[in-house]
Amino acid sequence: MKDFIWLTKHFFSLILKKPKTLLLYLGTPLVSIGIAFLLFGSMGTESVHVGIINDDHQKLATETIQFIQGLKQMNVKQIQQKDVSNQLASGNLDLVIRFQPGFTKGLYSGKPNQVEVISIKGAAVTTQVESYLNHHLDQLSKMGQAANGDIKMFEQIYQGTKKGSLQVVTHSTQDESINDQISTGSIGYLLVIMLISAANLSGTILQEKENRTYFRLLSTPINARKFVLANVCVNMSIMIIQAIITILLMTKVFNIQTHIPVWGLALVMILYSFVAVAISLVMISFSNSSSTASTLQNIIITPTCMLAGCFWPVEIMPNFVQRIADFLPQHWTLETLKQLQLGESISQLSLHLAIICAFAAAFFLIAIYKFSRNDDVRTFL
Amino acid sequence: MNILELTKLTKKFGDFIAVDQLTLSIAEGEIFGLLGANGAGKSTTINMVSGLIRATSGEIQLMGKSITNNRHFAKMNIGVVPQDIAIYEDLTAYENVKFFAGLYGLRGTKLDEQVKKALEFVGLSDRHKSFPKNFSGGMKRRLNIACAIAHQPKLIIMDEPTVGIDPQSRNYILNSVRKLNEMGCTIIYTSHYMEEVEEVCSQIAIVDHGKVIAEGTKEQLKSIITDTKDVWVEVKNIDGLKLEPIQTINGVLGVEVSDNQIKINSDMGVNNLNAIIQHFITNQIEIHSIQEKEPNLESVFLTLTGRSLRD
Ligand SMILES: Nc1ncnc2c1ncn2[C@@H]1O[C@H](COP(=O)(O)OP(=O)(O)OP(=O)(O)O)[C@@H](O)[C@H]1O
Ligand SMILES: [Mg+2]
Repeated sequence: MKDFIWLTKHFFSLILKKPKTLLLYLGTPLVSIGIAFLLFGSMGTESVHVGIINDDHQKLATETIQFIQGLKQMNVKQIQQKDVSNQLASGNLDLVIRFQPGFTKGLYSGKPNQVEVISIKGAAVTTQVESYLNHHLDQLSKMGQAANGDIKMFEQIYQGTKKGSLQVVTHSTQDESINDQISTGSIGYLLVIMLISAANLSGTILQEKENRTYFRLLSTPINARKFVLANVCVNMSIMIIQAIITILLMTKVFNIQTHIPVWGLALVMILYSFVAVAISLVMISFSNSSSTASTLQNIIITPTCMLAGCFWPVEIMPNFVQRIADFLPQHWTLETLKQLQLGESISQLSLHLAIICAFAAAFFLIAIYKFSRNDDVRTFL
Repeated sequence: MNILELTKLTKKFGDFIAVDQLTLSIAEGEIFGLLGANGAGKSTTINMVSGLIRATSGEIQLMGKSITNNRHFAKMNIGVVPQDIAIYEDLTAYENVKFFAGLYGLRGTKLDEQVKKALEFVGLSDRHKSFPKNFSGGMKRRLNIACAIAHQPKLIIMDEPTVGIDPQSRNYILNSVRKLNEMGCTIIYTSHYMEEVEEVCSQIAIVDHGKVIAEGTKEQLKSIITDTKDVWVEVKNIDGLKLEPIQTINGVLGVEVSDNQIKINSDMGVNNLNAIIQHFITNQIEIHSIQEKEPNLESVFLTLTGRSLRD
């Protein structure tokens, strides 16, 4: 144990000896927030042109249209069905929302499915508006479910909430939503940065082998297990520090609230750092030099992070690509965070968490298996 | 008492047998030379003793204890100077030694003292604050040694500690090997430099193809082949020299020619030097020099393995 602590300290001091790498590990979180700010922060400044077709003409359709008009940076006008493709194609409108007949009735019974969003610009603008809309309809349909088809009752709840807290919630949603995008965006980049850092830090295992110091360590009371474990400890600590820095910068300096309960966030980030370490160990175990390892990193990290939605929302990618994301731990991490942001509790997300754990376990097992089947001193472990 | 005992030690890499039923006893207080050509299995043997790789079969006992069951004990009592330099370029000489010594549980002033002693020992005291990247090959080799001795092990294993260094550093290292030995350490010294092993080792084992093929003091080893001697004749011009007549001279066992040198291997008991000289004179070949060479370990090795130590 004494030798293990000595070794762990030694690994830390080696990192501290290189200010450049240290800066890389601790400065990049700031970059992640910066990028997210640039990408998502600007979305709110451009106004969105929305066309409305109201075929419902009932109370809740009108209310919803008012809600959309009330959003920041929204340019709303009523149009006819026949103009839709024309207006969209010419770029006069970014998207069209059509309230079909029966929209209000549907909501009264808790089913908000008589609405259609049409756009051709790709999802960037649409998702944003859609998310506001969905949030609004979600509230309404929850009331509908509560009222169970009873219109009078619905009205009662609706009027009540309009005066009360719900009003506040729906209205502040518009700012919060961009805020949420910046925070999930930053966390998406954070996941990438953590993975790269983990891969770099595990890469020192290969470097120690190339410098032969690893083999000398094996002739001291240190064995291979202690060596890898000490590396994992250092690796995890660096990643957790990165996560803490990112979140602190985001909430305290940039005033972006994550809307994720702090313990939930901590738990997910810790689980994810396990996954990242495990993945990095797998990559190391399949490499026989640090140059193969870095090639492997390039091949694996960036593309999987793209597919998983770390750089942009998965929703804007084609369907079959979205399905690939289901096989990526980064996606499940982001998904869990999004659900937490939407107010789900940790216990409701136990399946998500279990999936992340399963990824970590699977990768660790692969790495251990590969490591243990290797006793070539000439090249590697 | 034997400090290290290897019994039928075997290591296979797949089908390849690198160490083959190797049996060896090393008494406490020796400087034990392990001599062998490239690929003889020296490093593989050492790697098994130092716990880097597992033996395929066989036993290793350190001070009477099997190392497989007493790994920690074994590691605490052994210091390994690896064949390849294994130090941290980003740490100073002092920090390097301190780190490795600390792994053996040394702390505080004791650690500091022993680190300084080790650096002193290899002559790097005045450079203890420098980084190895600014060191010469010889200095790196010396630091490589310091890292293995600071924890004061009973058995020090040096795997070719003098490869590719200047004569000065080499002498320094050979002297420190002797000093360590005087201080009570047993030393295993592998090399394929004959002269070094002859100079410093009290016991020598010759290893070939993973087996010990001869063992003893250098005198004992030489006595194996004292029944032959080599006569080296250097001539001005080799043209016109016929080898067959030389071979028929009484006592001559073999003749080899390289450049202008003729090596005549012959029976120790027969005095045929006159006959040999006569042959050159009658053939009108001018002799530059004649040397009769005592057998050395090189010739022992050659006789035993049919190969020379270095290619
Ligand atoms: N991990 C390995 N896998 C396969 N073969 C190996 C492995 N390690 C060593 N060998 C082979 O075992 C033989 C003995 O190697 P070893 O390194 O012990 O030789 P050595 O006596 O130390 O030689 P040198 O003087 O070159 O250091 C060599 O033929 C080498 O190629
Ligand atoms: Mg060797």
